[in-house]
Amino acid sequence: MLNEQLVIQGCRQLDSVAQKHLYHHFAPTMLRVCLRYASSHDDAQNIMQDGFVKVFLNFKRYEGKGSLEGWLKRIMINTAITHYKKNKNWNEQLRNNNEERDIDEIIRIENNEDDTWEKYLDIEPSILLETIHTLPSVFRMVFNMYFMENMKHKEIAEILQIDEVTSRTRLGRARKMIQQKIEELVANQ
Amino acid sequence: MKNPQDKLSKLLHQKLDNLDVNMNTNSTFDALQIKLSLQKFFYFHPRHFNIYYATVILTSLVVNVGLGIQYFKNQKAIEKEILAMNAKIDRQQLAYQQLLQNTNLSTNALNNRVEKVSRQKVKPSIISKNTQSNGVIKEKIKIEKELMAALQGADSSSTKIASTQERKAEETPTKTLYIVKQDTIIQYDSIPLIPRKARKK
Repeated sequence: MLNEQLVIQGCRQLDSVAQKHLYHHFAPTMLRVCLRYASSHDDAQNIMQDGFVKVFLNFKRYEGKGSLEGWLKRIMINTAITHYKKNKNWNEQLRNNNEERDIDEIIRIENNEDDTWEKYLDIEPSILLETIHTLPSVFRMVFNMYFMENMKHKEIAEILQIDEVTSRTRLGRARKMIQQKIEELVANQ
Repeated sequence: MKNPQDKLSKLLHQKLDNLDVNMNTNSTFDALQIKLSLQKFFYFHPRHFNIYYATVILTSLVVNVGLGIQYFKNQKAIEKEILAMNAKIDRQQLAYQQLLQNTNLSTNALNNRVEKVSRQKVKPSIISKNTQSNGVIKEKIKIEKELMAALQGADSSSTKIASTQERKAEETPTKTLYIVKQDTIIQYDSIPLIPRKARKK
């Protein structure tokens, strides 16, 4: 960015030139963040646009203490979570209520978790992203929050308004699904 | 041993943070501007006390409360007026009904009296074939006088006659003339009553 302080000042005054400059600079990074949480590219763009609207309308709240990128990412993730909560369909909600909570399975997955992760190193980022997109949104959310944002199960449970065990179960299922998909892809290659 | 979460997290970040994204930032920014202008129009989240917003809100509140009070006052006044008008109409209706009843009573009484007199005095036997015409006329005049007296008595109880024409008619009383033909057909007309003395002359 040319001059971050000038851009920040312009954005605080709702100056469209400054806003455009900020958007051009951060939009690709923010789209990458949104793509992890969305189920498609269009969905990700919608989330990103909503996020930028929030950013520009609330720019006065940015006090300049942390990095601007970090602040923007935080807003994008929160927007994605809001989007997920808004669009959570009824079938998914029903499934959540009847979710099996096999603790033994979770412990087994957590203990053997790093045995297959080496396989991810060879995979293309776009294929990995596609695999994440195939996950049901309830699993994708927990997976992203746990691995990409390094949140604990307690935090995830609070944000998504579920209990900790459900969060663990969902994460276990998500990992299992991704592993299966990658194994299929490797076998096909 | 490193935390497996950190290990996988690092791996995923390496992969996904360098992902190629194809996007036209110009067109998406234009779309964003439209969305933003719409949001700006409806956006109202003052976080600090603002004298301008406070004045606007307070003024509108005062105006609305004033209008509300005025409205309720008007409604009460209208209700009061309607009640007063209804009471007036009720009183007038009652008075009219009483007047109508009194009028009916006096009319009935008069009619009864007239009928009674006419039944008593006008007897078919008087006007017969064999009677002399002079005698009939005398008898008729007598009946007529009684009838007139009865009518005048009834008139005195009713409204007074104000017009001069009616007064004149009173001053020159009329009598009913009966013309008797072969059978008992009676035809009458009102003619001014002339005293006997004047008639003889």
